[in-house]
Amino acid sequence: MELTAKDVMRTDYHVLAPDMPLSEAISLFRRASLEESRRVFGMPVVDSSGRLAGMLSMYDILLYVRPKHIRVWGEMEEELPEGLFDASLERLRSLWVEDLMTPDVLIIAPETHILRIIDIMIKKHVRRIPVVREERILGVVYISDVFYQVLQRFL
Amino acid sequence: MTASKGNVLSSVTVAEAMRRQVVRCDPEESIARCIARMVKYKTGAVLVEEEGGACLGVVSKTDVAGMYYVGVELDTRMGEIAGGEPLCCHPGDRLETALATMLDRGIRRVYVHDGEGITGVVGYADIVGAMYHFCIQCRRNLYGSGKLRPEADGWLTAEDVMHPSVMGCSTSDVLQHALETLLEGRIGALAVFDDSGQKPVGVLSMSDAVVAYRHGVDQGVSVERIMSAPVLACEMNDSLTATLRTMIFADVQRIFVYNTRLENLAGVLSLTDAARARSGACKACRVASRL
Repeated sequence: MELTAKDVMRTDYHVLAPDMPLSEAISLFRRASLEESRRVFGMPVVDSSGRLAGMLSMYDILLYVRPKHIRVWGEMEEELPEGLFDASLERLRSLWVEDLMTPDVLIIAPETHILRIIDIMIKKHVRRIPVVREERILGVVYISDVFYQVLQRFL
Repeated sequence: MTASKGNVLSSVTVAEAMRRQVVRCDPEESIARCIARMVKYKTGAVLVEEEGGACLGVVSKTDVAGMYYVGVELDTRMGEIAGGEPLCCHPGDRLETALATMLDRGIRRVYVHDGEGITGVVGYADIVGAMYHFCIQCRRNLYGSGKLRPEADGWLTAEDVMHPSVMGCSTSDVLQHALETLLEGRIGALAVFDDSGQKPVGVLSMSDAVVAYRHGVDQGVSVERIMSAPVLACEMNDSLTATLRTMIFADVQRIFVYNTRLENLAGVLSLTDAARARSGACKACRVASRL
């Protein structure tokens, strides 16, 4: 099995810009899922010169939405005042993609062997890895594509 | 669970209240990257540490807002601006002692050092949260036993604990002037009023200022450009418990307090004030009221 990253990566992915308002990025998550015909949970962030600047996932956004002291709030018995959650979400409006993205991104080369990719995905708990050469993103390897590429031999 | 010696905090150690997530950055990282960490993890300060764990200092949101004000470049290395040594306590210390230290020194957090390194941090929200947690579980808790009726038994209200003054600015004020007010007064947020000066329409916080810094916003713009809205506020006679719940849920350090309607802002209630007062759960013990 000599499959490498370039054999399983997708090139039909959406990207975000660092200075894109978060509200726009959230809309793009929905649109990307429709256009790519699969659920998009995270997208690469590419700067104006085409370099990979980071990744933004739904997890990053939900981490911000979640109250920091949720443990305490969970013990409070009464219901929250109406509209408080909406008011809290309003704070997202002033943020850009670069404010919440993960800048330290695991990357692989196009020649990375698929077993090495599986190992990285398991050890690092990631479901997508950008394929990069000279700071430019060439594609994205998704765990579902790796899964079917490897296991179709078994069927 | 019962408070010993009639004092909830006396029975609680720092380890029971501290957060283990300490936000750190490398001295080689830029101010821009540090701001992103502050925003993402909703923290007011970042520890600057070398690879081996040697701590170079703490950089707070106020420090970063100061850098913005004086025009420091965003790509400046954190190692160049890391300043004060972090004030530390031990995991086994009493939470009461940590709170007293914070109040005495006028600081918002104490780092927790276990002898080998910094493993946690305690801020006002953590202390208020811990008090709430222990009060709710305490067998002497009048609230849980149903013996306490807030209206009849005189629960602490927002008015009892708030600072009875509000610092503010106008939507059309220049950001630079508003920054001056924030930094000179070492205050966390200004109420932003409409041009009539009557109606509060937003808040300008240190968080808003550092985000504007990262976004390259010119300080000549009007406050309206970067303020947050709506204004998070409560009524003077709201119970302290309900107010704390709102603050903890909304992840804010302070809330504006109004009399009858929002146009009549009467004060500001911060988590510092709340920690100084008490958890607000009940009055079975007189815990922090003496702090």
